[in-house]
Amino acid sequence: MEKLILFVDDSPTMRSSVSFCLRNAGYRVTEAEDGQDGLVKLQSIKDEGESVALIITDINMPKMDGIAFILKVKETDSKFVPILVLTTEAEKSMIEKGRAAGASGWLLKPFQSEQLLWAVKKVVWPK
Amino acid sequence: MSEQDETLEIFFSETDELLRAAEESLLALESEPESASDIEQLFRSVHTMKSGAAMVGFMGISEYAHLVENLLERLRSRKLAVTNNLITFLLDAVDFIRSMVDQVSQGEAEVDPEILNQRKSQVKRYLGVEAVGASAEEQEPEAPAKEPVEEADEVFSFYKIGLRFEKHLFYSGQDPLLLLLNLSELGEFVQVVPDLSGLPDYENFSVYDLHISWQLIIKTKFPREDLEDVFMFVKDDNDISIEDITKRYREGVDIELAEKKLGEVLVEESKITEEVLTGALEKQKMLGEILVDEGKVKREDLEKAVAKQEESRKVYRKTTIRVDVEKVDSLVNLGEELGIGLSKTQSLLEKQTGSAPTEVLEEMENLLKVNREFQERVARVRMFPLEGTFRRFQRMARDLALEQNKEVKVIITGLDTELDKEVIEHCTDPLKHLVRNCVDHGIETPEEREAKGKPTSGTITLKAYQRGGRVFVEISEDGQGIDLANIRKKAVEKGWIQEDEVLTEQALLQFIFKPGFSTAAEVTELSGRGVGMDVVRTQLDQLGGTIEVRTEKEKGTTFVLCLPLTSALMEVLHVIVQGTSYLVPVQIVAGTEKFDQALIKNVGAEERVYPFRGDYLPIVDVAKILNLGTPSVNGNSTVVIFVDTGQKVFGIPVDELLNSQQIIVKTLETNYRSVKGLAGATILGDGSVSLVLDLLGIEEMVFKDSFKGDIDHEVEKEGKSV
Repeated sequence: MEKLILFVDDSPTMRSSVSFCLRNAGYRVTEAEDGQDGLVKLQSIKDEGESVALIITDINMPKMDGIAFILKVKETDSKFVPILVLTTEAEKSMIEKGRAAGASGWLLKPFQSEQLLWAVKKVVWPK
Repeated sequence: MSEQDETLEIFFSETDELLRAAEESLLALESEPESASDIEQLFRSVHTMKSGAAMVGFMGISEYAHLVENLLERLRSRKLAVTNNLITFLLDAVDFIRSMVDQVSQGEAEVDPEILNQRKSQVKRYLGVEAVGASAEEQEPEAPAKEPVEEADEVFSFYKIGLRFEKHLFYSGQDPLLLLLNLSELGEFVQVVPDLSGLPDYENFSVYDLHISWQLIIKTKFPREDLEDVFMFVKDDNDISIEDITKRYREGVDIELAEKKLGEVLVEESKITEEVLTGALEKQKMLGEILVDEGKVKREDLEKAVAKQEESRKVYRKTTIRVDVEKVDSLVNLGEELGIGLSKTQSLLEKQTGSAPTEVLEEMENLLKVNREFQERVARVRMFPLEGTFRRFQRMARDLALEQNKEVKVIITGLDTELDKEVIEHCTDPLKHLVRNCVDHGIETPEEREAKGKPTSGTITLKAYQRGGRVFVEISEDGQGIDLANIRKKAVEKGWIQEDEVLTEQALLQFIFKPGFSTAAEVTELSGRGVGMDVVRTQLDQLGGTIEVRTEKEKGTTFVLCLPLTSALMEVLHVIVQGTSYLVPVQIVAGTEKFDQALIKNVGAEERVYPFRGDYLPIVDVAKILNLGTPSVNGNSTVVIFVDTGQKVFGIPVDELLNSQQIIVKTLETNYRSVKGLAGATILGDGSVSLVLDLLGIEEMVFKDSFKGDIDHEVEKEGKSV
């Protein structure tokens, strides 16, 4: 079974292009619109007896932003799941905040599929 | 045996071991060129061979080994680097020594002096002794004029990488092992040392914290940035150090230092001279002497202990002897005859119970038991570990890969697993074919592998283990896997299946064992000897073994061979067909059905079929096939036994199904002549003779040869009665 990645971003364009890239590379992707939706999706994945291999999240999102989302995830039993941040946010202080919250890596938009996949490979075990 | 002969025997068996050890070290060195212990073992092996050969008067071997030893001495002192070229050359040198030894063991001259001289100057060229004079003898084509310089190493760098992770690494979703895995894709780990000193005691241990740090040395073609890149996400919060030690490392000062004796290091660095060291070492006392001097141990106790130790070493050395196989075989035969005699006596005694006291019968029972164990033990003597066979394949895979410019690592496990000598001999060819297949068709070229994100060097694993009364040999590689779509295409082309036929993966894979599957397109220079997987299957069948295959695209293929421990013992079903008793090898029995005459159906005019597990399968009349010509076919049948020969499944109606038992098969050739359809005969416990059916042979007779002959005829007759 292909590894499952949860991708959280409020932009539908972003969601479809990232999902496309990941699916192309042989991963399964579940999409979420914001942090809150991300937590719901995470729970329902768990309810189905599955587990995510990686979470990729945006920072600036309505309802619940990326940092808050990461902090919430760290309170669940998915706390050891690697989390990559994919954002336009390049501010040093923000990156620090993300790291403190427990992000595994920080990637900048716009992304190139090669870079993204290469980063994913760094934190997800091969099948 | 004269004393001289005995010495020779010892020399041959020792040299055999040494050659194997040398080869082993060379292969190990190939994957770990810096391994001092392997260089040392190699050196010792050749050195011992040299002196041994001189002792028994084989001067050619000795002289050649002496030169090779000189060459190895340079390796040992690191004046020469281990390169692939050099290893190939040395493997060749080992082969040459072996060929000389083989010659003399057959009582012939070691070698043509001219060839020996050529070989010797080859080595000398490596040694640089004959740098000028060599050109005169340039006619030998295989003489590598290439300098054994460190060309291959030139592009590699060595980095020492220290990984001190922060305790809470796991909370940031990072996994140190995954990092190591990613790093391993950039090169080869020369050394990995975990530091466990940070592990807390039991009470303070938390499984969510990381307590281990690592220090490793990697040999890589990639620049430093690529190494740093692996740690991109963790380098800020953790203590990651990367140091280029290419220079230090190659000079052998860095890592090897720890393994060397202090004295040697001091001499090497010219702090003291060799003489000073030797002088100092002489002053050093042995442990025992020191203890005696200090009054901790009495001298006589020490001497006793030393004597005991020596005795034990002597015993250890004596634990193996070489025995002619014929001697063992005659023991097997005698044990068998003893068993038959005992069985007969027993049944004679039982017939006249009135006169035979129970003690006698009990004693008989006991003797039979002892004899059974005796036979088993003797069968064990014929068993050998698979080690030699596996080592040979390791070497073969390496050579094959080299010829095809592929990189292959061969891992062998379960070397102690023992098998009957005869089984080993008969499974060597099929195994060889499979290993060859792995290299030829499984493992991709380094470029292809790299493009797929796999390590450039492929891995072939040979694994043996015993489970129950059978030995399993697994051969797996991490290559491209078998293309199922391709198999389907071919099967359709051959008309074996319909285009739209739905088949399981396993069913599709079975086609590779079908005769005629292998096509010219697949025949490479190496595996093309007209031998396909069908031959592998047939050879294993004859041996009473089976083969299974698993494959996954881009992950590789695994073949699992299931072999009997010994070919002499066979598990059989005892059946009665029209009053005659036959034995059917259990391992190919697929199942049994109650016989009902009404269920037989005629298919065309050629085949009669019988329902079995939802299919209609052909049934075969054994008595007819073997030309025993008994009338009233199937009249008394009560059961149909279905057998699966791997090519075909068919049924055999029998009158009676008795028990299953282990028997020792005797071939008919020895006393009579070979009979098609019969694998041999055995004497049953009650002293009666029973025939073992050769179902492959029967299958051939029924489904290939006699389509137009007997069967037609038979079916015609049959047709009326149904």
